[in-house]
Amino acid sequence: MTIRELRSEESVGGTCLLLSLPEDVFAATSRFLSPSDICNLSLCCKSLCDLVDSEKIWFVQCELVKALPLSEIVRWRIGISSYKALCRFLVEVVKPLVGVWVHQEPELGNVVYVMPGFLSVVGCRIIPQKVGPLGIQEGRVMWSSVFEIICDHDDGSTKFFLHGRGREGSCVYPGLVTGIDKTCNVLSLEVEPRREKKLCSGVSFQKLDDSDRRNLLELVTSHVGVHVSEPLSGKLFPTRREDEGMLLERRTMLLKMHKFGKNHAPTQVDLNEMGASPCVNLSSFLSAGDTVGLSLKASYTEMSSYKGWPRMDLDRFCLHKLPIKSPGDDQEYAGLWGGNFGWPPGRCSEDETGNAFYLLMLSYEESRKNNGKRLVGTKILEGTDYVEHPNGTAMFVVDIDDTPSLEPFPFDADGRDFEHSYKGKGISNGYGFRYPGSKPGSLYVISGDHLAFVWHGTKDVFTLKRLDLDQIMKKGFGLWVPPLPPVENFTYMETSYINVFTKS
Amino acid sequence: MSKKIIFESSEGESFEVDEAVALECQTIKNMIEDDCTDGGIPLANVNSATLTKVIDYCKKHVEAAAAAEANAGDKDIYGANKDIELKTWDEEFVKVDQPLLFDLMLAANFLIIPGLLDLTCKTMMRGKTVLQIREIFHIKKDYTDAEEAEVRKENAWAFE
Repeated sequence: MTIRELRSEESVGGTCLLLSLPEDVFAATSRFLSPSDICNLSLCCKSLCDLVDSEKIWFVQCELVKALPLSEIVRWRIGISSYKALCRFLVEVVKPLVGVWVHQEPELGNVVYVMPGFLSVVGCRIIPQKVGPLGIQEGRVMWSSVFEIICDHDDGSTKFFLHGRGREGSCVYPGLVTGIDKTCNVLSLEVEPRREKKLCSGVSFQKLDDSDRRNLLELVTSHVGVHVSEPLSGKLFPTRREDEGMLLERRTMLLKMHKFGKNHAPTQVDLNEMGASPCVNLSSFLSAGDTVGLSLKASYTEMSSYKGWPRMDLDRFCLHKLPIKSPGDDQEYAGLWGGNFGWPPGRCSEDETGNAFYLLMLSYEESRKNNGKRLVGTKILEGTDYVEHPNGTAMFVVDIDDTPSLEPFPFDADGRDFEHSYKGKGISNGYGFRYPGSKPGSLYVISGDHLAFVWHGTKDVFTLKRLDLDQIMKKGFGLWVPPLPPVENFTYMETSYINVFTKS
Repeated sequence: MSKKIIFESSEGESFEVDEAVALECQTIKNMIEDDCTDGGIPLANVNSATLTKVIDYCKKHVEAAAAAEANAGDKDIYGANKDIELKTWDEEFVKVDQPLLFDLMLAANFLIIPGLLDLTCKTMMRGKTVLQIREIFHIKKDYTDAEEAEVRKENAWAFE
């Protein structure tokens, strides 16, 4: 259509101009708009609503959310009624939730990696483990499933399933998603009273006593758990193309179970049997509904942190989101890295910490020294047998804007190029568990996306490689281990310094 | 003397521009790379008034980019001011009547000038409320209040 034709169609008002835009042009234009802009346009009048509510335009919006690669957007569309419904799921659920979530306990690792599944998001716990013989990115990563949120076929609404181990084996525990804040940093597992399957408000779950909260969660999970014959592995994300049919079938089964199955427990329970003290809060909480059910809530709470690690309340059934940044122009090394002691990359040192797998968050902070920036490597998971330092400890801190380190790399370069070196400090034994000391060292930037930190005194070397957990999971390199009982599986609330996830 | 490219508007009028200015349009860039710009480029769906504006826009942005590069060393001092100047220029640039704004948008889409497409789009639709859009395009509401509330509810998820 030429502009002259457009002009001839032009009416007294301007409506016609907008409506006469060819669909392709509008789709191209919509690249500069957000979902709320599109919705505002469709709220203007009915004909505009018809124009903008198209598959093409919502497909572009799905892409713009940047929560899912284009190829997967197309594949997900098979199982959902429209790109608009898909966009809603991506905006409301996928985008806010994907990332790394943590809890302080057990001290030996509680890292839950939330990633897109298939028309779902899946919470995967990365187990404290040893590095496999193939190294970090190519090796097998041990993991366990924590929960999944499934998107309904018709409208992109959501269903929550907690995962866990029941008496007979793997179980799923249906519940509701009661709200996801777009800037959420706290993910809490709760129990909500319901009346005729609808949520009702009363005393907030978070206001109850510790033991009451635990008892309620135990009570509900004991009622709603459904044994699944399959292990909860390999069926959460498509590892091969032909998996789609099977994944769709599984989803249909879960949605049916959610709709018709028992996903709540009666409130007429004997409180003594629950082992709870009959306090006022608890009884008024229970009296708000006929039944109680599981729910997941993602909210935003202002909270302080130390080197990126949140200072968390230890008595809540909550996970906390780590502010992991993607690498950017001035933050080249930001992001998630895997590491182990030893050189060259892929080989582990032979002492006791040798093959332990470490997961680090690299982030930048302002330094008081010459107003420059510092790069901090925060430990978020370690695979030793007995934890050496608390979660969230900085393994190393280096000055990025200072003069380069002149310390030569003390080992054979293994044919690799050294691109840069920075001066800094690395963790070393200090005063007990909570107060590690530090000793001078250098961080070397090595070709092939590797970093290595060397302690000057001891010549210990810690080698890092950027880690893409999505890829590892989707390629089927994950090695699945059974989950813990449901409530512990979400957050493990007891202080422990050993690996609680792999003991049988 | 830099190479010149000749555009021909829908009215048949010729416009001579520097190659650097023409390169701002992805479509023309591809044509130049394929070496098929001899004898002028006929733009049958862009009229003279629009083409004049489009060329203005490209010229300004080429100049601004060159100036920014020349000042790259003093970026901290001048970089920010230049950006503000260009932004003000852009704002003035789109203060035109609506049919021309539409023509600019269509031309930006056809010639593939992302910056201009973004600018026209922002001026007309982005970040605007329903009332503002109705006012800009003289749209009469044809929803009943109940219908509008229903659509609003369906779309509530898209708003922060």
